[in-house]
Amino acid sequence: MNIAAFLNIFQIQHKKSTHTPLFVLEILCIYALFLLISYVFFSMTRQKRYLIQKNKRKETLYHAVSALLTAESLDELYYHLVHYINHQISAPVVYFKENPSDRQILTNELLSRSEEFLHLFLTPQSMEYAAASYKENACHVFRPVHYDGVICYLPVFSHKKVWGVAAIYVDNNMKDDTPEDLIEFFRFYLSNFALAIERDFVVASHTELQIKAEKDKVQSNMLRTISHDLRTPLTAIIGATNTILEQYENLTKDDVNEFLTYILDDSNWLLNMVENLLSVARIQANQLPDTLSEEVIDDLISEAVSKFHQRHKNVNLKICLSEQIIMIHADPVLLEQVFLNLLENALYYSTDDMPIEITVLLHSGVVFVTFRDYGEKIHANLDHFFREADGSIVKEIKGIGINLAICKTILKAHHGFIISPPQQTGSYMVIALPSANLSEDVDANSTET
Amino acid sequence: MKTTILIVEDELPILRFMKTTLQAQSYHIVTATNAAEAETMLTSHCPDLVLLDLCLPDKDGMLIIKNLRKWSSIPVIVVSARTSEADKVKALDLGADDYITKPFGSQELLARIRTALRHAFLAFNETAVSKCFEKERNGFYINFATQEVKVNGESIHLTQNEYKLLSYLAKNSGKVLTYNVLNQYVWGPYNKNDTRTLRVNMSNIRRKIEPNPGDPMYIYTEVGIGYRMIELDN
Repeated sequence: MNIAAFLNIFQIQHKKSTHTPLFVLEILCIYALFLLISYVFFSMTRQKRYLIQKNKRKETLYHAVSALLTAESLDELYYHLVHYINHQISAPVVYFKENPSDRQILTNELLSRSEEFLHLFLTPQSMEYAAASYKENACHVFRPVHYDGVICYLPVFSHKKVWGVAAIYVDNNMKDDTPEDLIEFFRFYLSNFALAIERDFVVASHTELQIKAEKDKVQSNMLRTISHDLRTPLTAIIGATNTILEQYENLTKDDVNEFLTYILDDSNWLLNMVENLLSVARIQANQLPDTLSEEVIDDLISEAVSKFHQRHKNVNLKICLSEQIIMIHADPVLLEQVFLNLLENALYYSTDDMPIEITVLLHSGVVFVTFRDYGEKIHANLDHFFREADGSIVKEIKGIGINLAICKTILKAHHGFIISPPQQTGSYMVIALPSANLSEDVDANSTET
Repeated sequence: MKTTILIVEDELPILRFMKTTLQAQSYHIVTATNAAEAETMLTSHCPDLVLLDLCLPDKDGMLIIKNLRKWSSIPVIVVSARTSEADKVKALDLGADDYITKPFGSQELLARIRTALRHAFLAFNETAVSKCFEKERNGFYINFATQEVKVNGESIHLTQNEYKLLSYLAKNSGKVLTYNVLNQYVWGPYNKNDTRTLRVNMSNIRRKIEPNPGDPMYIYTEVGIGYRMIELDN
């Protein structure tokens, strides 16, 4: 369809009949028809381009919303908004977290590099618009001077809460989109973004409540167990003391000595329990990272053994240290408490004939400390003693459950663990801890005497 | 003449127990239940030794040590709870001679006091010090003049630093020496916070002299604080 065709038709008409007004009218009509068809053609082409662009936007939106649904954290959501969307729609986007007045602004690297746009978003006037959008939960439009575009401030809102404000700069001279379409796309995206944030908030709240409920349960069970373990030795102490006070004239010297020995033994047991409680409190107060220091395992074991001997003078112990000098990152007081607890437990069940054996060895960067006794067989499955929450079994056996539960807590805080492989006789406790750097050059500064 | 000990303790049952135990050993006891009273008693009675509770109601026990050390070198043994290792180290660095952890038995208390008094005596008595060149106990023998160390008659071969550490502990036998003090003695003032080499050396010393390194009888670890050698006889 072009001028050549028109001229052909014109020539034909001209040959047939010329110089009539009807003829001129006909030419004009045909010309008008040409223009109309051209216009329709160009319109259709533009419409087609527009529809292709719209489909592309739909696809982008589909991918964007899918990503929002599968995001696993709040940071991932923010990243998506500020990087992915910015990239897809080629318009600068900035997100004001919660209240814009707090100035927690998320932006991406590209935007940060383009200082011009970044400053545009951060001017006092722009910040005012963002704050207004947040406060009123309404869209605001800001027309910056010297720019042929607008900044739209859109609140991210769901379930009666404004989570933040997204700001987008829309240029009036975009080729592929109209400003209205782009903003429409962005609003739809933001509504899904708001839902995703709300979902994350609900999940986090639910998890926090679950953790709190679990902690309360553990604490309550622990308190019951501890209360029982404290009352038992106290009953013996009070009983023995009362007997001495009330029956002193009727008691022999041996009787008195016996009662006094009970009082001393149970007092030492109480002391150990108090140290256990303090250990747990220390971990719960999250002091652990501050108190970790590099320790030689020999030092910790030897001090635990010395303290144990102070309380129980004639206990037979056999200790095999590793040939290498092993260092670990540990809170020395807590780890010593673990060793003391295991020694106390072993003593309770061991016989006089066989010693309690402690062995230390290093294998593949892990330090193993084992406690073996050959006494009366404890329950074959010790797993339930290791449960920090369950106090029900503990009542039957003096303090053993709480001792082991505390050992487990302390070791866990040291990135270690404790297991108890079943034995034919007695019990076998194995502690595993990560070792710090092994010292090869024992004394780099020394010279021989 | 009796040795005078000042006990500074605000918990009356503990004060009573300490006073009874020490009076039974023929020590003359004066007491104070707060810091102000303690400072008055120190200046008026000039005791031979002070047992000082770190947790006093009116003032931090550390300040008492600091003030005392400006004019006196009498031995100070601090009394504190188990979980405050940092407090014990601070007290020792400020000039306290030893510490004892609550709860403690009477034997432990008496042993600490005997050690502290003995070292105070030696500090002032040059003749005694010059005669004291060899010590032994329970099979352990050390001769500072010949730099010989023997365990159960068998000679022990030590490196230079190991001997330095061991002899320092032996000269201060019965008394706790903090990681810092030991570190500085052997390696100088700039290695103050690096205790790794010290620990490794001490482990090696233990493995050489202790019949059972896991259950030591000569050198005890005071975890978080330092080391202590058993009291040796001259």
